[in-house]
Amino acid sequence: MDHFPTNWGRPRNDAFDAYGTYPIHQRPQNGPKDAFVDGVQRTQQPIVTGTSVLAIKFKDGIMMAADTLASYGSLARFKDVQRLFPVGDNTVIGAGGDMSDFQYIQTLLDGLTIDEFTAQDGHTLGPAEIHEYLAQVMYARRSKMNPLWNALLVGGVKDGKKFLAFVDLLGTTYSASTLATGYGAHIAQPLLRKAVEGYENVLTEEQALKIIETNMKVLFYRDARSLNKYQVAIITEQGVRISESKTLDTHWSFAEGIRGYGAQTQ
Amino acid sequence: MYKPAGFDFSNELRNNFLVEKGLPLPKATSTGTTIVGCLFKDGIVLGADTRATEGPIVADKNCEKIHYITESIRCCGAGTAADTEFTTALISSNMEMHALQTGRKPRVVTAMTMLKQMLFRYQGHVGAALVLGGVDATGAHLFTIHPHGSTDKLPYVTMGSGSLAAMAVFESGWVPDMERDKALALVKSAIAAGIFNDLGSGSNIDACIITANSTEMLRNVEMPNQRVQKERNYKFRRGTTAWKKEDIRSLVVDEQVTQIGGDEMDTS
Amino acid sequence: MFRNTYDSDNTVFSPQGRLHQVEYALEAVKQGSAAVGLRSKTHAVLLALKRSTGELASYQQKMFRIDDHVGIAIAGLTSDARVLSNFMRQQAMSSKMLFNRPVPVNRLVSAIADKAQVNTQEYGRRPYGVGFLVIGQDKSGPHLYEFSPSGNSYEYYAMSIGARSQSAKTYLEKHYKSFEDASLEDLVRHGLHALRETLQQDKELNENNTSIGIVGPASHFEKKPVTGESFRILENGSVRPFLDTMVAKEAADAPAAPAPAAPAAPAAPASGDEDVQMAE
Repeated sequence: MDHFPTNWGRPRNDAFDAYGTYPIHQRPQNGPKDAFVDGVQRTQQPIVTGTSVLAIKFKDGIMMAADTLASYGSLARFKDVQRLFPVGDNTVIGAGGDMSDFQYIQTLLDGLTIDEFTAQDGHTLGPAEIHEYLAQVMYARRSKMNPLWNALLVGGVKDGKKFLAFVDLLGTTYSASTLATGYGAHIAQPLLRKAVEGYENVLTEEQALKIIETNMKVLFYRDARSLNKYQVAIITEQGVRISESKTLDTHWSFAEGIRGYGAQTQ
Repeated sequence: MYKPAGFDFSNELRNNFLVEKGLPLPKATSTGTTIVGCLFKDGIVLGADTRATEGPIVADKNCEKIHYITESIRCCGAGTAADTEFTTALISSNMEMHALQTGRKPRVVTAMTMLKQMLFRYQGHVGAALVLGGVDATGAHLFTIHPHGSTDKLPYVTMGSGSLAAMAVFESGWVPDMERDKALALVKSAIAAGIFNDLGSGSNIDACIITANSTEMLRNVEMPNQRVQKERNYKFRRGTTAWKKEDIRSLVVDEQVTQIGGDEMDTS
Repeated sequence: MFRNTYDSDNTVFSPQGRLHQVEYALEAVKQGSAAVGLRSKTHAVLLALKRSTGELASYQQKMFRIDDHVGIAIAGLTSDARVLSNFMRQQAMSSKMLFNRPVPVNRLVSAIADKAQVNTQEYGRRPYGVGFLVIGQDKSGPHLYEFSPSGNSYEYYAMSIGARSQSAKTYLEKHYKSFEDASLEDLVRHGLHALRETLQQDKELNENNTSIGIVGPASHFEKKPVTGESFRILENGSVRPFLDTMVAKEAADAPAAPAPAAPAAPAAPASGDEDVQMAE
C-alpha cells in the first residue's frame, strides 16, 4: 500500500523502496556507492582459538576440563584464559574454537541468567535448557552462513539428574558419558571411553580427577596447540566448583638413549 | 624396450580423460589401519589390526599387516595395501640376498635404509607408511618410515588412521624396560583403542614379539569382533520349491582301475 | 453522568482516578457465560457453561488447549480470545523450542497480562474484551490463574468469571478449604455445583452445555486414554459420568443461604439474549 499521495494515480516504482523493506546492502538505491556494505563478510575463520575440552560423568556429577591457553595461530598468545564458564548454579559451559565468539556466547548466557533472576519465581534454567538454547543459537547462525566458530560442552546436575552434551558451529548435538572436542576427540576419547563407560555411577571424584589428569597430559604431549596448565570444573548437586590452574608434571626423557633418526650410532 | 627408473605416468592422460567422461576412478584398497610398535626389556613387540578398506567398504575383514622381512625383522604396513605388500616383499627379498652376500645376520638399519631410499625415490607416490622393528647383532631397534622417505627412531611408535587413539594408550602406559606380558598387553590395548574408536580400523588384533632368540608371530591373538550367533534360522524349508519329477543317476557308469608303473616321476 | 465525559478515550483518567474504558472492557467479560476454575494438590480443573443461540445452533466453545500442560477457559469477546490464545500458544512453543522445557505457567500468564496492559495505555488502542481462567501444571505443581483485560493476573485456589459468576464465587468461598486434598472427581463435582449456581431459572447443566478441562492424572471416569498428566477437554458424552456425581441442589446447599448476592435479575427478557445484563 502506497501512502504517499504524490504516487497515487502514477505507475508503481519498485526501484524506490519507500518503507525500507530491503536490508541495507540490497536496497535499490544503495548501489556500488556503499563499498563497505558490499564488503560485509559472513563466514569467517577463527583467529584466537582454544583447543580441546574434555568432560566425563562420575558418581556425584560431571567433571569438565580445559587448558588455559588461547592460541593466535601457532603462537601461544594468552596463557591464562578461563575456557570453563558457569551459568546459574548448576551448569558449566566449556568452549574450544574462536574465543571472541565464546565471549559473545557468555554475554548471551549472562543475559539469560539475569532474566531468570529477575523473574524470581522458583523456575531456573538447568543444563538441559541451556544446551537446547545454545543448539538453537548455533544452528540459526550456521543457517545464516555466519557461524559462531566454537565447539561447546554443556554439563551440569539438576534435580539429581546428570546432564552432559555437545554442540558445535554446525549445530550438531550429541550426548554421552564421555565427551571431548577438537584433538581431544581423537586422542582423549579412546582413553576416556575405556576408563568411564560402565562406571559412571561408581567413579569417585579422586578417580575422575586422575582420569582427567592423565588425559590432559597425553593431550599436552600430542597436541601442538595445547598447554600444560589446565582447570577442572566439578558440578554436583551441591553446585559448581571451578578449580585454580593446575600444572602438569611431564616426562620428556623417553628417548634418552637414541641417537639420530636412522643409522646413526654416535 | 627401455624403461626409465621410477613411475610410468603415461596413463595419466588417458585416466584424466576417462574421469572427465564420467568413469569413476577405482578406489585403491587402503589399510585404514592402526599399527604400533614398542620397545620392551627383551626386544620389540609389533601390533596391527586386520581391516582393509576400499573407501567406506571393508574389503578384507582379516588381512595380515605384519609383513616378513627376515627371521628377526618384521614390518607393519599402513597406507595403500598394494604398496605396503610389494614394498616389503621387495625389501625382504633384497635383504635375503644381502645377507647371503655379506655372510652376516641382517640388520634392521639395512632394511630401513633400503625402504627409505626406495620411498624417497618415488617422492611419496608409493603410499607406504611402515613400522619396522627387529632384533639384530647390534640390539633391538624400532623405526617408523613415512611415504616420502623420512624415518624416526623411537621407543614406541604408531601409524595409520588409528594412530592417535593408539598413541594415547602408549603415552599413558609406556614405561622403559617392560616385561614381555605387560608389553604385549599394552600393544593389544593400543590396537584395541584403534579398532573401537577409528572407523578405518577393525576386526582382530595381530601381534609379533621379536627377541634375540625368537620371533613369535601371534596371528589373531585377540578377536574382539566375532559375529554373534544369528537369532533365527534362515534356511529354506525342504519342499519350498515344488518339484514334478525326481531322477537320480550315478555319474560313474563303469569303473576300471589299471595300474601303470609306480608313484615315481617319469624321468629318463 | 460524569463518567461519560471521561470514558471515550482509553488514555484519559476520570477525576476519581479510574480508567472507564478498561472498566467497560471488564463488563464485556461479564457478558460471556460463566466459567469456573479450581485446583487441588494434584489437579487443576476448569468448567464452562456453553451458550447456544438457539435449538438449531451449536454451542460456543469456551475452552482451548494452549500446550500439553496449559489450558484456558474464556469469557467475553471470542475474537479477542482467539488472538490472545494464539499468542499464548506461540509463547509456549517458543519456550519448548528454545529451552526444551514447558513454559512455567506464571510466566505465560504474565506475558499476556503485559500484552493486555499495553492496550490500556496507548492512544488509539482498545483493551482486550475477554477474560481467561488459565490452568496449568509445571515443576511447582498445578496452578489456576485469572487474567482480565485490565492487565491484571492473579493466582487463585478457585475462581469464576462471566455472567452471574458471583453466585459461583459464593459457593467456592464456602467450600474452598476442602479443595486442596480433594480427589479429581470431588473437585469436578464442586466445580459443577459452583457452575450450577450461575444458571438461570429452569436451566440445568447437561452434556451439551457443559465442558470440563482437566490437567493432572486421569480419573477413572475418563474413557479416553490420557498421556501423562496433559491438559484435556471433556465434552458431550464424556462429561456424563461427572454430571451424574452432582448432588441435588437443596442437599448440596445445606449450610448455604438461598441465592443471596446474585443480582436480582429483573426479567425483561429481550428476544434471544435472555441472560445478557447491562450493569448500572
